Amino acid sequence: MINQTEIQKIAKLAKLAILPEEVAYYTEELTRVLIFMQQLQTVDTEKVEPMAYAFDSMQHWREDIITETDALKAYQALAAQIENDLYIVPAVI
Amino acid sequence: MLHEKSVNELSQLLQKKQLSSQELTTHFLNRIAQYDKVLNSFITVTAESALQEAVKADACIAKNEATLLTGIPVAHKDLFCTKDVKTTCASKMLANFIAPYDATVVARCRQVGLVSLGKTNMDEFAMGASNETSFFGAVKNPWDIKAVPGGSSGGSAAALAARLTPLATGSDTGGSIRQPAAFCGLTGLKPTYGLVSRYGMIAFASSLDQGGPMARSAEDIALFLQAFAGLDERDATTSDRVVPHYFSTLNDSLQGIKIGLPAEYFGEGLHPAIAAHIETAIQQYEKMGAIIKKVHLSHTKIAIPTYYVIAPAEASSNLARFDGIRYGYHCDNPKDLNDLYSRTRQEGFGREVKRRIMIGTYVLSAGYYDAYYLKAQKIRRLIANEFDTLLKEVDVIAAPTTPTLAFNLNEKAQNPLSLYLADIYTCVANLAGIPAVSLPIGFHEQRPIGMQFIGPAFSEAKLLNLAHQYQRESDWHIRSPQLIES
Repeated sequence: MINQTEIQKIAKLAKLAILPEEVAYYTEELTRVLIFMQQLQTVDTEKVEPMAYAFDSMQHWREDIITETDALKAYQALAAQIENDLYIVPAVI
Repeated sequence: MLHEKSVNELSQLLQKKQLSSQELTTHFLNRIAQYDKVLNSFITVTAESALQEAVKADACIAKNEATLLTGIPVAHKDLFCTKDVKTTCASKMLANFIAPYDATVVARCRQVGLVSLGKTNMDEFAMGASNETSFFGAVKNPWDIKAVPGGSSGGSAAALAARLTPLATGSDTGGSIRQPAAFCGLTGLKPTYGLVSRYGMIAFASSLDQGGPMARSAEDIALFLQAFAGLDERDATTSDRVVPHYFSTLNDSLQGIKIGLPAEYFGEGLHPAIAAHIETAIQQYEKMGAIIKKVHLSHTKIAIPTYYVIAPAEASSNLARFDGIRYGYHCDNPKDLNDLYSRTRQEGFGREVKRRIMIGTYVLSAGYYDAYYLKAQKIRRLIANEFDTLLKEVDVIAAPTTPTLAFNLNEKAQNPLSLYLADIYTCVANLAGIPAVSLPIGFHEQRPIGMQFIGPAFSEAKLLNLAHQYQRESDWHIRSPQLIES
């Protein structure tokens, strides 16, 4: 149902390193779950609108005024590495 | 004993100054020290700040500026951000994360004077139904320490059942308040989607998550829910409906209330003792004037695969924020950005979380999105519509909370799919966005049994009324387990 190449591809999309010894495990686990999910195809959903969340109308409006205080220092205190208010990350390449 | 009293009784003692919040808080902190090494229900106990809050509570009471809940202890599930206190989600990824702000639920509890004892254990990132996936170790069921307390709010449930706290917050995405409530002999309410703010509640599946109250009784829950329900400007999905006064309608008559019993919920797969206890409970409701009607819910079987497409899909998106850069765990010596992301997440997340992220990523990926995610969203609409139609014919639906009694530790850990199937009766309320309450209705082989009422949107008052009227005539909810000292 899902092969090891696809598992590697999904892991790459999810930004999850999969150890070589885990590939077989995830392949088997996901296959089992996906077989179970095949039941979805037995339900007729023609002309049914998808439901993203309960109660379609919930958007509130508020006044366009500042209500939050500047908490940059507090938030950046949690980071691994900060320089001049910037988050430092390893090189992309 | 203080820990056997209801929240209302404790409130009376505090208001009359026959008891101080400091005495009450110390009593519960001592019980945590005495019993929690065995149960492992707390991740963080905030003894010092709890006593400071208790001092403030006593000062408020002395000046007659208190609310009904001032001075009463509470424990928060460890996915609610608590300012300057660790919020871990029971994960290595956030093991040392100190939240810089309070979740709205926590802030509102503080405002009414509740005293926070600490943060309770849970399944990692709320993904689980047994509290066995926590980075900080499994939680034990106080009724039988060989058994799980349920999950993911297993720590809150165990702490309440062991009377280590009179109130606790939980969260419910597919049953994570109601199932541990059932396994631990408690009352637990999943509110309507939008009744309780999710601001500061670390997200699992944003269209399904709801924070909610757990306690010994419907009466305690009515007082507790009042503290934090209602519109929050910081959560655009909260409703602006006026929050009713839950306590004042607890004793409303049940004469003429129509209770639906879905035939599909009482067949194969349900433990016979649970079915028998529900039958007895329903007879009790008939004596109270309820009209019982047999109904049908044709989409019952499809609810689980629907839920297990939508929830992991949303989780894979929500957990993308854990990248080792702005907060949380990060791997050592990353060779580049991609290595930072991949190894941080591989090392920081537990197995069940990674499994669900993989499932979620798959069902959202190109080529599979229509067949899985879009399809599941359409079936979700069918399920919600079916409940909507049925809840116009009857006032509430009665259902088991769980298909089995609390199972033993490690019994289902090697077979995640069997755990997923345990959500059969609970996940439907999350998919439809409607409220449901679980209450204790007996025991079998010393393990508690719960049943549920599911109601239309914003019918929490009616659900608590139903639970309370039963609890006036029964004593399951006030029984306590024999505990083992640490």
